[in-house]
Amino acid sequence: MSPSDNQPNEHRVVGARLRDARLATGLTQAEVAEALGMSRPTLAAVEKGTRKITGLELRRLARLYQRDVAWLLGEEGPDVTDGSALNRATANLSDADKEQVLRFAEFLAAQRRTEGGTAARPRPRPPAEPT
Amino acid sequence: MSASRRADALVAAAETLDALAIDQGAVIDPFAAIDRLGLTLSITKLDNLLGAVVPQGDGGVLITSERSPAIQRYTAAHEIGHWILHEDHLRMDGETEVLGRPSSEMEREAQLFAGYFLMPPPLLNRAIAAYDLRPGGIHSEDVYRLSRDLDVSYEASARRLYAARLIDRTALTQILELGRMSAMQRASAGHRPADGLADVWDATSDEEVVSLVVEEHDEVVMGFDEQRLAGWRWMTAEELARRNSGSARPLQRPLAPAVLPVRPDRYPGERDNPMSRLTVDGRAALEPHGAPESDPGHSDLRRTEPPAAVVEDTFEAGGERETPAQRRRRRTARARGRSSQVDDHVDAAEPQIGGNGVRTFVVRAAVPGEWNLQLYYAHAYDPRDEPLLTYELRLRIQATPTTAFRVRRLQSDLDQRLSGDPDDREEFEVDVA
Repeated sequence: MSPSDNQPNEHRVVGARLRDARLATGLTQAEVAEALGMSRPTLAAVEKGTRKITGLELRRLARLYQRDVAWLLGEEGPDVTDGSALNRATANLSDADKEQVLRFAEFLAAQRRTEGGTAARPRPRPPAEPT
Repeated sequence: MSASRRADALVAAAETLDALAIDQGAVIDPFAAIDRLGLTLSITKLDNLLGAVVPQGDGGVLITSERSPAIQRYTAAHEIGHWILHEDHLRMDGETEVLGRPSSEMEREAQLFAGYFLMPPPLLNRAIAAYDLRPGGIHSEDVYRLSRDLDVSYEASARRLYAARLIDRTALTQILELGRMSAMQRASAGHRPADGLADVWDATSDEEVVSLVVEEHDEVVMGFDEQRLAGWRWMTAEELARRNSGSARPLQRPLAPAVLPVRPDRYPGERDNPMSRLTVDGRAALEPHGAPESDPGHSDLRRTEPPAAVVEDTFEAGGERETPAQRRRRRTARARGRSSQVDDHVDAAEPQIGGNGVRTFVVRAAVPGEWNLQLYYAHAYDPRDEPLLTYELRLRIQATPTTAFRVRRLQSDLDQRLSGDPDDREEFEVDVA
């Protein structure tokens, strides 16, 4: 299981990003492991980078942490339509705050992509009746 | 800000409440409103930001996990204000934008929106009537109680009362300068909670049953007169049972109280606290689905510890019913042999040897759930003696927004598929070494 060969650089961040995303959400390893039906040592090994992660596990962790899969996999920069504007707008934030805002924007954009296209969205109106 | 823009913000708040069919006479839940607006909520660790509204996708609201529930709720309402009033702008709000005096017109509008949204006139009027608040007679402790019971920040409550012309500019300044912690201590016999973000509730009452709806980490203070030297004590159910069995002398220090699980059917009418958070509208939207106890999925959020516990139990001879000056006068008078004239604190019919003391219990809420404390005022030594008085505290402890959000994440659908997802069986290296 343990990768013995040297991995390309981008692989080095996956475990760390998974860990950071979990801590930002305030969840413990035990909680996340149970939600995914994996053991806690397995999750710990993934976060430490000593165990590979499957596409299924990655997808579920991305949903749980409200993160874009591509970012968890080590892609750099915000993958959002107006990324540079976002970067400018968040320039005055602390690094940690900027990170949270960009990752959340990325997650929201990724959700939208799936639901169909880039058409201008109508502003959601309050429903006429309580849901 | 122009009067018309100011009015627009208030009208928009009123219209949003109407459109979402939110009960404006009850405590408002801005997180449920975020859901109903189709926005995605995230409560996460932030350093300086209190919140943000992010327009990407269908839009989302980001709230810090690092502030009190009241400030989280006020920030959430502020971000809803931006979403409704300010089109598709990314807004990132720190202390000044949400709680301070920002120069930006948009921020002032969002503040007005938030104040109205969480404290619409029906709810505010209900609170004013419940506390019998009158212009000129509103003090910092009243503002604290109002903010606690409406679950909004102390500062927001003060500003809302000012906007409603119930306090003037001078009073507003004094109330804000005194600050929440001092106001809270004034409202709760000087008690300061272990968690400075939590609230304190004074459950001292002559009623036999006091029901409260509180949040995790909140503390409840109760003070009772006790004729200790005459043999009377407030006792827990366990202590009373020990006394009756004759197995033990009363303890110098009381035992931990019996923790009795409360059946839901024992909550027919929570009448003692009219503004209790029980009336939170739509709070269920953030509650875990199903009973946490029956959910095998989440060990750390499973309730293994009791929801609350007695964390302080003290007895003060003389107690707070008598000021030092009064005590001096009484002792002086007694020395001069004319005690009954000036001693208005000890009933002559009561045994003078006992005097009045005050027994104070402090209960701290730990985790969401229901918990009660039963106390009996009885003779500490005589097993045949029936309790003279009984008191029961019934607590319902609600999850903070942060806890509720974590529970909801763990119970969310993790099998939703998005474009760009990898193949389930593909394997990825995660090496960080």
